[in-house]
Amino acid sequence: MIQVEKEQKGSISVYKLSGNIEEDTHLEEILGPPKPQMEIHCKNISRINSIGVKTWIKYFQGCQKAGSKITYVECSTAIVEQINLILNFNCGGTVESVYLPFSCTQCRTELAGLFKVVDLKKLNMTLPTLKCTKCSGKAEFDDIPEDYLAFLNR
Amino acid sequence: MCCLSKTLLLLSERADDKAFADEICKLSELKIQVVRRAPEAIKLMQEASPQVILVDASTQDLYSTFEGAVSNSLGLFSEKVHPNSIHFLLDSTMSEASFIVQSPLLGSFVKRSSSDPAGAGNHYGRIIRAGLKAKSFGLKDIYLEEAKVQRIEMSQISQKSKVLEAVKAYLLAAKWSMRPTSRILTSVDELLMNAFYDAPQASFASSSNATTPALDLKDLEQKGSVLIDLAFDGKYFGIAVTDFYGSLDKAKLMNYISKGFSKSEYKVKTTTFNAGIGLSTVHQTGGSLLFLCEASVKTEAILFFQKSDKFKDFRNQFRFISTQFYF
Repeated sequence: MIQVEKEQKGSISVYKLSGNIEEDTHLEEILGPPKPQMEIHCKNISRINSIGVKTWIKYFQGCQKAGSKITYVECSTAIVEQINLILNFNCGGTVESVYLPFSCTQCRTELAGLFKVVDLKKLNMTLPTLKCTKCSGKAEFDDIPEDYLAFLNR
Repeated sequence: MCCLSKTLLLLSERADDKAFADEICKLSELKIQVVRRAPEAIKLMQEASPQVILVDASTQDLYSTFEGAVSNSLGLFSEKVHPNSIHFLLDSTMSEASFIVQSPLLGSFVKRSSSDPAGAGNHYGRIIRAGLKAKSFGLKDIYLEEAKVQRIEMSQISQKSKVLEAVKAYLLAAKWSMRPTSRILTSVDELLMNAFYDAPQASFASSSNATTPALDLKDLEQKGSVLIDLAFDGKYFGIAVTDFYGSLDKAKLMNYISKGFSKSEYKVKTTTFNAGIGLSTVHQTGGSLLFLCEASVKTEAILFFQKSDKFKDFRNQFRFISTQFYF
């Protein structure tokens, strides 16, 4: 079940989504009609299944056709995976920031680090380490950079 | 004339394939016969019927040589050639090896493990061992005494969230970390959707409203519910989803699995409820898939995932797509 928190920041309509996007998700009902500037916060989207992907693309393609300027913010790993898997998942929108998965080399805690896409492009696949929030150990990026960051090269 | 009825035939020059095959033989009590050239393999296939045939199909040339030799000497549809017994070994994923997707000989597609071929053989050997039975279904046949199999019965799609929660709890209790767990749940979700919405294709095709599921409980009650079995031996997690339609089509299946949308646009079809990307998603998730189908009786889709400390190892795990069709 997906939930949304809406707010208006000047001319930008902000939508904060949380939950899973599945066959019972009706984005047109939850998000309403396309707006000129839409900022979609994806931090708390934990899973999206194939029907959810179809629903997502159908809705945001509609927004794209209506001339909306779409920005995706704080994309969760689930959303980043879809951005990589499906060429047109963004539907003409801009990915502004994404979460990167990290794993502590000492206590194995899973962490997520938020990065701006513009900064990631500068890093050229050489990702920094993070400090583990649990044991202060060194947390390393835990995925295959060329796969997880494939969308940067599009 | 030699008797190869309990033999595994390996057509490969590679040492890692030999290590892989040796482990399979150990587990399934088969004798290994290694040949390096396709004509030698054909000769052995003609003389007797090896129960398992592993073929190095790393390149299109290697594959075509084997297919050509089979076609010229035995015939692609000869009773000496049964796709259930043929396993192609490659270094690439199925989406990267399009030449194999529509092969009439394709029974199983194995992406080699570069780090541990013997370990991979040990796991795959269980699939082979189970497949040696006249009809093999169920995780019990695969794990034998190595893991306890638990069962969940589902009678309607509205129970899906609860089932996924149960699978999640099972994995977290077994100390799986969150990200692989999420990925596994996505794959299980897709298999459940397939079992409920895609298996009875004839009924579904008549749906006039393509935006909502055409089928509900009353359609499923005719042939029973969907069964979910799960087991974990400490190394590999297996989950089987069984429906009682037996309507799987191998060519369509392979097409769906190998489809990719990272280089070409995904086009939304409004005439169907399903998205057409579910199986591709499952494949991309990183696990292995085994499909067992008895025509008009039942289909069992089994997923296997290897537990790893690091997610990048989870992504690089040994993988296969295997099918067994019974008529």
